[in-house]
Amino acid sequence: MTDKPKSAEAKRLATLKEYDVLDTPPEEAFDRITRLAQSALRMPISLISLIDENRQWFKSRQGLNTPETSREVSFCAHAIQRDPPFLVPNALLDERFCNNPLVVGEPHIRFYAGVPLKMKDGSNIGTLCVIDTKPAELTETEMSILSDLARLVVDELELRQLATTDSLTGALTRRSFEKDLDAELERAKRYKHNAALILLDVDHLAGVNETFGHGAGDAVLRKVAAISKQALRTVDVFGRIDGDKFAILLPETGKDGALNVVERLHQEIKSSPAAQDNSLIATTASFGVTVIAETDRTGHGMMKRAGDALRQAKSAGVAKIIFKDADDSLSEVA
Amino acid sequence: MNQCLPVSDTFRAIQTRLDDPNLPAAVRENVEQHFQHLISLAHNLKQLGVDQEEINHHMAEIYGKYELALETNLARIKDIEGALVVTDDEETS
Repeated sequence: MTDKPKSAEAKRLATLKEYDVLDTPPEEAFDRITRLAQSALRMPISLISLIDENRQWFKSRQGLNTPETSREVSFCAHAIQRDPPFLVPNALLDERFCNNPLVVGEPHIRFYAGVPLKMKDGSNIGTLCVIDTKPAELTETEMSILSDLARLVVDELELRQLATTDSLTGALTRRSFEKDLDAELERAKRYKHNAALILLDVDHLAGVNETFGHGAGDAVLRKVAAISKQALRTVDVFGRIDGDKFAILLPETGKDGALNVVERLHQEIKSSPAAQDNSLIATTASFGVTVIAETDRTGHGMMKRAGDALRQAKSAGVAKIIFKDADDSLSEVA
Repeated sequence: MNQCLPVSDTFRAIQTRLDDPNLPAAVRENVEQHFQHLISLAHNLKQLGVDQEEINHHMAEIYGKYELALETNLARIKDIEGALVVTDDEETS
């Protein structure tokens, strides 16, 4: 929850998290691709490596036993810093890698070629790479094959994300949001942490659609989603739970922290009209806010309290903020 | 590029999928991309000297797995797109 724009790395990590692929079981769809890279390019090791905050984790691996390494020693962490393929013909002759534990010890990397997995938003979340234990080179055609295979990996990841993400706004779908909400609540109960839930309803969206057309309504939704995502932390969860409603889960956040976020979103949305066909469409949003209660076992109770608060806000007019406490008491914030 | 390649059953299957007018836009875009990437891969494997039969096998295997994921997700994607209706007085939970 910072006023500063997210750093490129925070954005990249948020994108990686959105794909929800870290620590998932191996899948044949990805293993087929690494096996083909291994055999077509005659390399002993082929990996789909995803670069997390402090580690690289392998969604698929051929010729390597370990499921992850620290990010510090990762060749792929270098590869994601640029868009073109990253090549290390002989690691022993490269000052960046000659003392790397993966070079001086197992698996004794000498040659590395990695193509970034560039996702729709431009973030490089990992690589498809091949590794040899002796110095090597790849021809132009072989590099093209590695790039083709990397694109196929991206296709597979994006296909899976289509079912969990709203294509208009990039927010999680309701089902995916609720799944994350339940998981976070379980975590919050176990570690006795706070958690807050915000429901955001775009005021008069149906009217915008009727007056200016659905393209304008879509532009408003995209704008509100962009403002919200920009204002949130990497750990926060953002979903579109209905046509004109978004939900925001703030882990380890109490009432005051949640209301600070809401106030910022409230002001930012009000002062940032959406642009459509040379017109600017001003909008506001109403908010229902709650925090975790002792009795909450799943996300259902929080969703209900925040929903009650939101309905109260909508019936009080537009651009209102209502907080419903864990003891069900309602208070108008703005 | 695809004119250099024999039309395989895999590419025909993808084209049939793309001919479906009910394919959601975001899915269509992904399938089209996947199609282009497979065509490019087939072309480059051929350039490398890989046997055409083996190329066809790789195409079928990669698309086969992709298609499984496509089928799994398609119903959910259609549900999602159909469920997002804008009204001014909807219940929230």
